[in-house]
Amino acid sequence: MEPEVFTAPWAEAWCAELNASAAYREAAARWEGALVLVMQADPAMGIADPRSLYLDLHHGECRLARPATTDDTGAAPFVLEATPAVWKRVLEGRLDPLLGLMTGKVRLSRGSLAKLTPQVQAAKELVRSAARLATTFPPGWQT
Amino acid sequence: MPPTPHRAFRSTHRSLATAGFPMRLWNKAKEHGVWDPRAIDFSRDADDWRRLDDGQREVLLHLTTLFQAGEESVTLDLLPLIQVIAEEGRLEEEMYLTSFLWEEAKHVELFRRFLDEVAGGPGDLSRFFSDSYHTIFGEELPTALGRLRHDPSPVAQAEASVTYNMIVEGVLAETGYHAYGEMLKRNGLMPGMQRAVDLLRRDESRHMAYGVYLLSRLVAEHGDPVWEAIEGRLGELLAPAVGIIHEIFARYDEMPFGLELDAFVEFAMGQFGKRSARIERARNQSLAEIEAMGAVEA
Repeated sequence: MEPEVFTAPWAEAWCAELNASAAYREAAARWEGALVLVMQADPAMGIADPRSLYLDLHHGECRLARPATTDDTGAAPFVLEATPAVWKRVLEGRLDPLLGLMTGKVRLSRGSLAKLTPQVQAAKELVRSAARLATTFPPGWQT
Repeated sequence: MPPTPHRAFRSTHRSLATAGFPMRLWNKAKEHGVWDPRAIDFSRDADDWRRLDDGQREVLLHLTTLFQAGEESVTLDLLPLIQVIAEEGRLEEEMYLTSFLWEEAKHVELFRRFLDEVAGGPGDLSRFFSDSYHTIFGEELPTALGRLRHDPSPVAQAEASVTYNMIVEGVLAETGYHAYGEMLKRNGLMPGMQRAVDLLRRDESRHMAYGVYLLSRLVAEHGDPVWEAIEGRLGELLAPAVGIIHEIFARYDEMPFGLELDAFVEFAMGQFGKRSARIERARNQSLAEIEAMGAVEA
């Protein structure tokens, strides 16, 4: 069965997909540092508890991706949070990541927006890579 | 476009919609928008300019150049939108838009006066135009507005307004004028330009209010296809818009006057977020509710 979104095997698959993507490698050539992505709980969307992923990204390479620990969330340069409904729209390519940030739908709960915004193209490729993954979504995601 | 014959005259069989949002903006424009760029006293500004160091002059010239070219672009590119509004018979909106274009023209005059009379007519300033600046002002703005000449559809209007009002005015001009005005005030510099920036920011606040109204009206009238076009267009343009801000700062090892990138980006984000939320609310609003939008600070 395909891994479920925002789980450990899904994170591993995403990391592999990023490392196979020439477009991501080029767009993220100057990206340094880790990123934590938080999916808030929403039982109606099949997410009973929050899910967090830690991505160690360095110059176009994904060095590690796994569920985030509390320490990760406290130490990563950037932490981005959104509801499952918003992540769904991002992963479907229906919500641009920067637009999500600028409208507050994706919340930058840690880090500087000014430091993050130059990495817009990298963020787009990050999302495109995730969208290519064979993914199982909780039942509430089917609309 | 062939001329449309007038078979009736709206203003002879009904009153103007004075309580509607466009007429309220029009009234504000007549009250607050009537100022003359030639009346701005730049004499102290010229003295201040001579006392600045090279780095300070360079950044002021840089920002002023981007404002000058931006105001020229919006003056040249706005007409197709006004034409579409006129073709739809929206008399009150067109009345307001006459002040909108007039004000943009005054802004062109204001910045050119500053360049000539304060900065000493500094010659070719094209070194200040970055890649992202060319993308937005050289390509995206004239293309989106020019499209209205052959495609006046609600989606095309929305994409033009997003480009003009939300990105060029909302993210770039408003943020730039805010930072520029605060920088001059904080450093006690150029009282003439400080006064001028206060005046043109009031003009711009009305322009953006009109943009929010127009986009809200289009969303309320035409629903999701327009809303999705707005989101899509914003997604395309936010990156080069924010890129312009980054490219300004990238030219300087240390930014004069204590200008900070974070402050630029945070301000742009805050203003943008409020406006986009306002437009999104229109998905569940009637036209009457859109007309009753709150008066702008102008």
